[in-house]
Amino acid sequence: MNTVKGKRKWEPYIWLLPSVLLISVFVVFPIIIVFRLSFSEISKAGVVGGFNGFQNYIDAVNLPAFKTVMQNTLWWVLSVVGLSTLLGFIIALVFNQKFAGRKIARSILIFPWATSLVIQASVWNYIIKFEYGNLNNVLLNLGIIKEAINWRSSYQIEFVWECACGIFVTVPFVTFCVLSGLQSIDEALYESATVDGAGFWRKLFSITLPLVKPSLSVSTVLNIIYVFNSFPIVYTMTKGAPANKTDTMITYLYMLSFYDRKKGPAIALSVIGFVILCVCAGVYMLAVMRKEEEQ
Amino acid sequence: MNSDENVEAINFALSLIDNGYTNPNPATQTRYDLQDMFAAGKLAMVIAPNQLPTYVADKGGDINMVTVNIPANDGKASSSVGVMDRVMAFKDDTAGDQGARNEAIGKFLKFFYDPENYVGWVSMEGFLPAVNSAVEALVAADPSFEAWLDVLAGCQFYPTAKAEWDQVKQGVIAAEQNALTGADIQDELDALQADLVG
Repeated sequence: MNTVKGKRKWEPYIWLLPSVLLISVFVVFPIIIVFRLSFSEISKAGVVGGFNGFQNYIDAVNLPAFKTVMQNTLWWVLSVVGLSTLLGFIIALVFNQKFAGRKIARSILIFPWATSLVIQASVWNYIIKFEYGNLNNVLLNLGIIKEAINWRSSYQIEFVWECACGIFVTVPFVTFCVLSGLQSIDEALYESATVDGAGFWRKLFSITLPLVKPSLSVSTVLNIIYVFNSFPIVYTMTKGAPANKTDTMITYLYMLSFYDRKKGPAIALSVIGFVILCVCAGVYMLAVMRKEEEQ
Repeated sequence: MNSDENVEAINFALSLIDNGYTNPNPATQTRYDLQDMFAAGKLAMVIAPNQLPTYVADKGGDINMVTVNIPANDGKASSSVGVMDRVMAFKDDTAGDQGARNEAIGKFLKFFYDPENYVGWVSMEGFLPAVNSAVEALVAADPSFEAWLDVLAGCQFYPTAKAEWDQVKQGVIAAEQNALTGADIQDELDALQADLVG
């Protein structure tokens, strides 16, 4: 009996071993290497030299575009995650109702999520092109405008378009996360609330939101990570031009490493980004878990 | 980098954008976008490489076009930008048989630049030849090619063999793009010069 119990004690760890090995080799080990490289001197050709302390971090923070890129990254994450969560939640509420064509509507919503981000961004680029874009063509043909409009007249507007594309591709993910949460809510709760005289908003804030919170938390944390690390949209639409004014941290460190060949500061930036993500995701999860414990 | 001529040249290029003589979003458009519009007959003029006629034909474009030199100021010669790939062989004093090594390198280069092999490769890539032995065959295959040989003679090639070239190239791009967003080009080039000198 003791032998059987002893084996059973180790059984879960044996089942976990393949996953732990895979994560160690393909995630943990590369992270350790990156951390080590961030404290090393690296030549333009990528040859790793000796330990150089925090010099790569100092060089990264002193780069002329660093402050702009960090601000852009903050706005990028806040706007894409925030607005896609709001819009996704609203769409999920609509999709949770019964209406004709609901299945078709749900299927159509999957397309932006299923299509490659490069294709999405290329299509958006095409739509807003000044010379031959679809947007100008449609508006000109409808007589709404008399001359083609330059929809990318400044880098600020270009950044807004990048965020719009990001929101467009992120909304389906949030919608389906929230929808799965909504569908697990017992209808009896809404029925008894109606009997008690609760209106739409009361039911929304007292029943729907609290019960959907776990799904919303998961989608928000995952979105923060995905959006922060998102490369294709910014790179396809502007490559961070002009002068890194539309860059986020990920595209900037790519240009830094492979165009400017400043590999040391680029690696330092990737570590800074990793730490920021860990802190943000960790703080958010702790706050959510603490609230759930209190409840 | 911060010479008066360079400042004047970049300010002139920026004035083309401000006055509406060229595409309004140069920072986010590549030459392929412009070549596509040119092939569709939507652009009057474009700066492009020698592959443009082939590119237009491949796109199904049927436009009447001629090639001219890039304009220059009075008294200055026109120049074109040349881009080249390099075949490199590296010295290795630790290698065993230096003679055999050098012979192998020479054999490969002779094979590569033999017109029988080289002409086909140059034609496939749409390049201009780097050796005179290929010129005759290329002109025979495409007489319009001869006009490009005159351009080739006056080309200024990117100095890619210089270690600081990457820094210069990215620095100039950044300076021009900063100027597009309102920065003073003299200040930008002064900063770049200081950065290069270190």
